[in-house]
Amino acid sequence: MVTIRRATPADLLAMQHCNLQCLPENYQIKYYMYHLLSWPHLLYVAEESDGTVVGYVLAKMEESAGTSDASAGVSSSTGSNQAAPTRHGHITGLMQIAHETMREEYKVTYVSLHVRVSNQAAQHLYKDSLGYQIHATEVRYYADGEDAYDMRLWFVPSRSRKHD
Amino acid sequence: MTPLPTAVVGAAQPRKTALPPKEQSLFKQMFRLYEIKQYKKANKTADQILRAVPEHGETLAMKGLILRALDQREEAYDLARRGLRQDIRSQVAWHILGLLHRHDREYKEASKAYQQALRLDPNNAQLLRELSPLQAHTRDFEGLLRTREQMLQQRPTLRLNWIGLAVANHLLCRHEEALQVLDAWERISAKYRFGIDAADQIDSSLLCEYRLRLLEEACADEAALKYAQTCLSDGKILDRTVLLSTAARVAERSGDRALARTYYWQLLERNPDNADYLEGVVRNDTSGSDVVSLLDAISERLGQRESARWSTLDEAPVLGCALGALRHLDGKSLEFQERVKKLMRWFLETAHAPSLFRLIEQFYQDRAKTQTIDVVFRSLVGADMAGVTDEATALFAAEHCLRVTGDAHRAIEILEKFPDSADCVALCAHMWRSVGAYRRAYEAAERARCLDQRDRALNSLAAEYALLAGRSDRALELIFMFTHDGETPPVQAIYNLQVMWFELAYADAALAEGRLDRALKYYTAVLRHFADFREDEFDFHAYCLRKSTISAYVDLVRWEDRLNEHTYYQRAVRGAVHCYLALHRDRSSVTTRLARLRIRKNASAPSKAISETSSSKRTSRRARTPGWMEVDPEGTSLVDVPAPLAEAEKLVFPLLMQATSPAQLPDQLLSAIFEVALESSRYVLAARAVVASLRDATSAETLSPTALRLMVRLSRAAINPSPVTELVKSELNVMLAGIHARSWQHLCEEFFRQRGALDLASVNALAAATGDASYFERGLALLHEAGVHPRLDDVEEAWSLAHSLNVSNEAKATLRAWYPLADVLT
Repeated sequence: MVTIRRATPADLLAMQHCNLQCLPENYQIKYYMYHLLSWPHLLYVAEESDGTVVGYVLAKMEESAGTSDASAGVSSSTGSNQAAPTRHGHITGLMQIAHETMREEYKVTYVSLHVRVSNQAAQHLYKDSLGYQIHATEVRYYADGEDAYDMRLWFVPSRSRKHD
Repeated sequence: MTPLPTAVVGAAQPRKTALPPKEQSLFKQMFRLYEIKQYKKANKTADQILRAVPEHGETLAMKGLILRALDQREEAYDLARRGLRQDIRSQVAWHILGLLHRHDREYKEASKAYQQALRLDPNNAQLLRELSPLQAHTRDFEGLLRTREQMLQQRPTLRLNWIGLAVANHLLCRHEEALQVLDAWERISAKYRFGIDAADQIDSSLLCEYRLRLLEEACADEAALKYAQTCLSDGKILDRTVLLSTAARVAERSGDRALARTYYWQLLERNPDNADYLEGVVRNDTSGSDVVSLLDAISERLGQRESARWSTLDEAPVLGCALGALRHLDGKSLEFQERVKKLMRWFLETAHAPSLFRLIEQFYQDRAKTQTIDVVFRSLVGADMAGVTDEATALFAAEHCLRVTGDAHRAIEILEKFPDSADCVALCAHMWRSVGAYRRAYEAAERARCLDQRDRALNSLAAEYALLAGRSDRALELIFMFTHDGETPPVQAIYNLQVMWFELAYADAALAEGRLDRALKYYTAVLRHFADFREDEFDFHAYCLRKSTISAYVDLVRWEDRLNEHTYYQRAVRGAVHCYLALHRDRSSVTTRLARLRIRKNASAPSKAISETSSSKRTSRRARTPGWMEVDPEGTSLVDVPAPLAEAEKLVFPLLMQATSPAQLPDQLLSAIFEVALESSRYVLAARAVVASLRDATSAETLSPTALRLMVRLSRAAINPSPVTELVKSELNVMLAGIHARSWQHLCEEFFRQRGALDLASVNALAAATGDASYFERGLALLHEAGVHPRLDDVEEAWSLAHSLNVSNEAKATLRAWYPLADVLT
């Protein structure tokens, strides 16, 4: 069974490994360190019972108050043993717990994330399982020139929003 | 380069070394130019001053700082030192020397220079501020404490200074004092109402969280619990995860199980995907009911709680409870059988979820449970497994089959019915790999990769197996497909992005091919990453105090101190030591020149992948400084070091010398230290490594294979009579007595008697240390008789030993029978 728990510095290398295994945007350890030491409560890992990190979420707060940004990654470093349905289970759980912490601690009104326009599986997951909506398109957001959707999840009902 | 702050220049007091007015204004101008990074102009101004006052100390030092910014390292230090000689009482000159060292990551040297500067100007706030991270970084916590005390005395109204002092105390494990500092700050800030930014709830929450942590670490259970309860009601700590889990731990530790259970339950409700919380609830249950019914009740209660997300079996916490119950039930019971069946049907027939095996893998250690699982599975798919008609079932069937029968062929046959499923083909690859058939593993991994070329995990798998199969060039091509870092050439990108798993696997493969240069390059790459991780910490000493993320900071510092426990680091050290020792031995033999020529020749013909890289580099328009990997990508300069043994010593001896408790060093590192010590005839150091490897062993039975190997090798090496070997021999006798052995020969017999029929690693250690083939042959026969199935890597090690010891064909046949498909054994 996969456990979701808060990340500690001892998870930094495993998170980096997980990211290198599954996503095309990669970062040096110092970037993960910066996240962990800036928002220590907003990093979570999904861990197999043998201690292998199979997923993580790095979330952060934007400088302007009340908003936040989140990104998620998930790995399948053991090939077939981590096939699609389970992977999504981790992402949902990881994202939800990060959302809850952001609401509780930072009182955010919404969360936003960027997703590749071509990545329909992820969009589907964010939309249907987590309730995100496409907010805007950012042209050539990724290094390879692809556009990104800025997707947002609002924690307050739309009527009470001052602006969208 | 960090600009030299104005405070330093301002502090340049008119002394007898003061400049005439005109030069004084030039000095200020030079400093301004330096600050706005006009280094060349600043340098000219420095020369202008020096023409008028040729040996002016502070100007010389400043010129040094300027030249450092212009990348003239040697000249910079020369000038800074010359400046100091002229004006040894100038804190500016000392400060500059400190800055130079800090820039070059020589933090101990930097710290010394700063302390000299402070001796001349004891209350210079800036010097203190810059010194404190240096002391934290070099783990001079005593010094840090003094610096922090001084900073607080200077500005007691600053919150940061109080936290800084508390942290310094904490790092010295002076919890009481740290708490007193926090208390004092709280009192003062409440009384005078300064320094509190009421709006910044987060900062104050983080500080409260830190206090709670200190209380817990100080083992002040009662106070910690009381504080946690206060925070739970007044909401001072915003993060309830930290708060509740600390409260749960402390309540449990102080024996209040009912309270601990309440907290664990709240945690579980907040995050049902956490096995530790579930265990906490069960462990602290006071109802007296049995574990299984308890888990059922928890499952039901949580399942009712919220959305349908937890109503099905594949999600925590229902799944967690279901697995927990299976762990506690008897494998032969009907209850176990029915529950396994329910789980299996849900996963295979309803959800078609491929993760079933991973979940129940833990039960295969229990023979009765394995049997029941087998019965249940066959009742679902038929005795001949004819009912395996979908991928999820095939994945489970194959893993189950391999585990029950050990027949990889049969398991792979099941999977091969689904050649279009990337998951099935990838699992085939895993299975081939697990029986040592690396070529076939690689071929399967390539097929899986082609089925979904956007899946990076499949790409990594193919690259990893390509290396095992001896296809290094192909592995590089594969890894390049996904590793991008702007316009950086891929070889450098792998390094920049710290893709350590690949660097290590690539180095291992290079070593297997006899490419010492390339292997050393990639092992060194990993060692450099670890040095960088240590370096990365530096900025956070100040940053975390500002951000109030102190608890995470303390975790970081402690983690950094244990970096050498990471397997990547240990593999890199071992690999690099192996290379250096091989180079050392090679160099002292007649074949040296030939071997070196071969290396050169290979190095001059880089693989296709690399040459493509360098051509793409040429076409890139912007000039870039080539990275560490681009300069000498095949490690030619590394194998050309004049004294490879000295390099190995530099790598491993500090590990032993600096370890507060050498017994905590892992076997891998102790072996590496030992090998180097023996090669350089440093018997005393070698003996220290052996002592460390003994750990708590009291007899041959509890001795680790590594400890045995090192002990025997040392006994056999220290035979030439000399004062040192006499010392080592007496040390060895003490060690032998400690494990009730009369001599090393007696120890070997005893070790063989206890462990010979248990595991191959022990037999390997005996044979390798004594060079005695009879241990090997007798051991293999015993293991075979006992029905032991050794691990693949132990068998591979045994195979290479079998060749060097020239053992019987019978023994070789035994090894082959364990892994008949393994590439290396055929």
